[in-house]
Amino acid sequence: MYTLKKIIPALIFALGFVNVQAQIEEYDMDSTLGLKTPKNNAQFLKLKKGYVLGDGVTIQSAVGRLNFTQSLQTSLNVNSLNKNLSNVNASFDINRARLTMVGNVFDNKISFISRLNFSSNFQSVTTGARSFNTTLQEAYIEYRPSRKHIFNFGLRADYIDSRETRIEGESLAFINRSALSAAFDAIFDYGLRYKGAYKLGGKNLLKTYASITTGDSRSALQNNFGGFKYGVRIDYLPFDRFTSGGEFYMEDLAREQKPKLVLGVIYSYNNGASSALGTNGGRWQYGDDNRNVVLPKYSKMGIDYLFKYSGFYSMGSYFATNASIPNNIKGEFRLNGTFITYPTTQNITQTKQVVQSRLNLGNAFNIQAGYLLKSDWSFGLRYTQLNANTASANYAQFNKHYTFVFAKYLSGNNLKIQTEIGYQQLSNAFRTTTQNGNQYAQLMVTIQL
Amino acid sequence: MKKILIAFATVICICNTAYAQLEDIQNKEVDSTLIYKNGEGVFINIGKGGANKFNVFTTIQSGIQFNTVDSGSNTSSTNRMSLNLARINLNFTGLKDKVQMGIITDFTSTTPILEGWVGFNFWAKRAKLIIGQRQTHTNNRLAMADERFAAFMSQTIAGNATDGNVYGGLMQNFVGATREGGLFLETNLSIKNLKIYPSLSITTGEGQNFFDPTPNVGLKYGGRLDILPLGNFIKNNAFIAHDIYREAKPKLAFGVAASFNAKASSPIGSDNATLVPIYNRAGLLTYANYTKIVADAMFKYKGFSLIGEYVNSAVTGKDLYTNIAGTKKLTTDTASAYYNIGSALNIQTAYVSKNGLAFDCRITTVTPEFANATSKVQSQTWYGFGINKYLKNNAIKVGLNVNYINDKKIALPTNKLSTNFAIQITM
Repeated sequence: MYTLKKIIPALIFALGFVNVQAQIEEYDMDSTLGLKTPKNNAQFLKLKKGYVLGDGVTIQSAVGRLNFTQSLQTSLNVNSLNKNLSNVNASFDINRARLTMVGNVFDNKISFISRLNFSSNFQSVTTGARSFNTTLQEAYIEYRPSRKHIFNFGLRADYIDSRETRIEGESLAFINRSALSAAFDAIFDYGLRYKGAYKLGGKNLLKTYASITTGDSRSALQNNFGGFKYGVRIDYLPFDRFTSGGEFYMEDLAREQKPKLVLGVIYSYNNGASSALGTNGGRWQYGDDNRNVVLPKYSKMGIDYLFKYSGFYSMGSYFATNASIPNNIKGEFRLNGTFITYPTTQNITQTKQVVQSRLNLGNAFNIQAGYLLKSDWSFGLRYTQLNANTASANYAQFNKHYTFVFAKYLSGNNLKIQTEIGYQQLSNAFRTTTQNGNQYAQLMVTIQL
Repeated sequence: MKKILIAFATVICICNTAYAQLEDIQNKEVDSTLIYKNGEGVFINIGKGGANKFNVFTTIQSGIQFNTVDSGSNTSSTNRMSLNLARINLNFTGLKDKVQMGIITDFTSTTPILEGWVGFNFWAKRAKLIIGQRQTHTNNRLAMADERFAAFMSQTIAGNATDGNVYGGLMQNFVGATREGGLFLETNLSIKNLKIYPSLSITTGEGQNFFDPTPNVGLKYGGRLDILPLGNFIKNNAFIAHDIYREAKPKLAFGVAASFNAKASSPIGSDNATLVPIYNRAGLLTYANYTKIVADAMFKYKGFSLIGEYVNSAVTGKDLYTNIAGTKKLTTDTASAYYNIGSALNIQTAYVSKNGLAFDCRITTVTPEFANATSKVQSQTWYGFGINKYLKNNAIKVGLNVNYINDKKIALPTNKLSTNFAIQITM
């Protein structure tokens, strides 16, 4: 046993016998406090001159740069579920408040990207080992051995979701992505990814994407559940690249001089899905007789396109999901880790129905189009339909979505005001004498510094 | 031709201006500088003579892990991808070096802040008083450096290793969280080349406690004495496993540390109210005192490093009972089921070549004070081998390591093989 009485005299003695003398050398636990004159690995930095909205703050060195951008989207929303538009609900929201940092100070081939969204809740609604933060949206290291091939490792938006997710939230033509995206897109996930670009002759271009991710989204930051998720996307561009990166923002702000098109096909396979669409890994875990974790396999396929020409754009997606449920599921784990054995009267078919009722199964399609006037006023229409399987999770209560958007682009996607009016129609089973669907209107302002 | 001449003249002017600025900065005393240094981030230097210095940098470490656990009758394999580190650091030194501040955010957990402290230098920089949350000095030597310098890269959540791969069995069993909130006094003394660093602290004894839900019931008192007979190490080299700076002369460090954690509410004294309840004679909730001594030594020379660390922990306390009726006394034997008591020895060595290739070897033995089936500490031997590659002044680090843990758990002995691959970037 060691006591304080023995420790303190020893330390006082150690202090007393030496000839005290100040020291010049550093003895810090962290190496970063010592600032020396730049040499070797150090470079003088300077602020990038010139600025237009959306550029962010850029600090440049002789060989690279650091860039910081901040976005903010605030909105006013009103809606009513009643046919007579009574009981109107209203809210003010911060849709996004994202700080993005991009750097490649020492090597053009290696860069680092991180993004924090301050409007996210920091902790999930569940507790225990599954708790995770949603503030961190992206954090990955990217390696570009050549202009045509890119590898990245870390947390970021997937390539294998619908085309809408290939576009940042600040660059959408509507206030939110469609109901198809909400039904089937996990968006953020952690893993290894590859993207490549191949010229096929003439103006034909092929872009390929492949990924191995956790399939659990951001809950995987602390723990992985089930097997990995494998995905691939192939995009074909018959008329060469879009102008000014137009493939990655929705409205035709560049007003393409010639028609531009991208056609895509995706497939993903989650070897052990533990949440409805892969956004909340670990939510549903099942076990066999020996309480070994057993999970369903979840696959998703989809096709999509984006077309732009002279201020007009059109985008469409069709996605379908499927699941394979193991026969040896005998119970499930609660969130606290304890196991519930299913009753012996529950047969395999009933067990499979339970599992299916926790997965987003079915198909959906979304089609939308918009036109940007030369005065930078725009309008657009969108129709989305969700077709849930009978045994699926209830993601299609509102199964038909009609949206009209009207927007003024004051500085491209960096400063814009959007107004949206929409109707989300309830599926037959959920309609009542007073309610057919949700009528809503939204106004959102976007700024990107 | 006219356009070419104008463009050429413009380029010459820009180059001359840039060169002149650089020369000015290097030769004259300027009010401010903005500098980026590979592996150390951006330095903003404001005021003549560098009166106020800001340092900002970000670290991301991505990793993948493959595990196999063999319990004799059953073998299971798992794998995991993880974001091991996702941090932003801000350091400030100002008012003629009299004040320092440090903040580290961490986004791998549910709490956004990992460190936050303010330090005041006095006694002609011979002493520094720090208040806040930071890495405490009462743990072993390697527990005092930021995780981005760890020789074995693997998952950490808010600075805590989930499976012990980062720092091995010693820290997994006897340290836990390396950061604590409290008051720290650091001093530095010198007799020619002999450097002596005594330090004292009063902390919560509850680890990273910014967001603790339960009030603390007793403080932790500790101190450390470091002796460097051959002079100072380069930068933070005295606290990290690799000799990444390749000491030009042999360097040696000896350290002893001790702590007394009054009424520790967690098994290692590094968390808040996670312990199974202990009661006093009156049936009220209380805890035992947790004491820890540490001895360590480090040698480094031209890329070679050898580190030895020893820790021994015990509990004390009077009139402690395991039931509310006060009939079952908490003995040192039964306390082993409540607290991590025992000892551990960690020895690791590494060599870093001139081109930044590092080879690691680590062996740790963990010995429980009482070899009971219910003891928190069970007899274990950890073996670790690793290889790392440092690039761009340590801004990029790529590592592969293999850890073999022979866990002689009385209830269920297991052998675990854990392989980690990770990439780290600091910018």
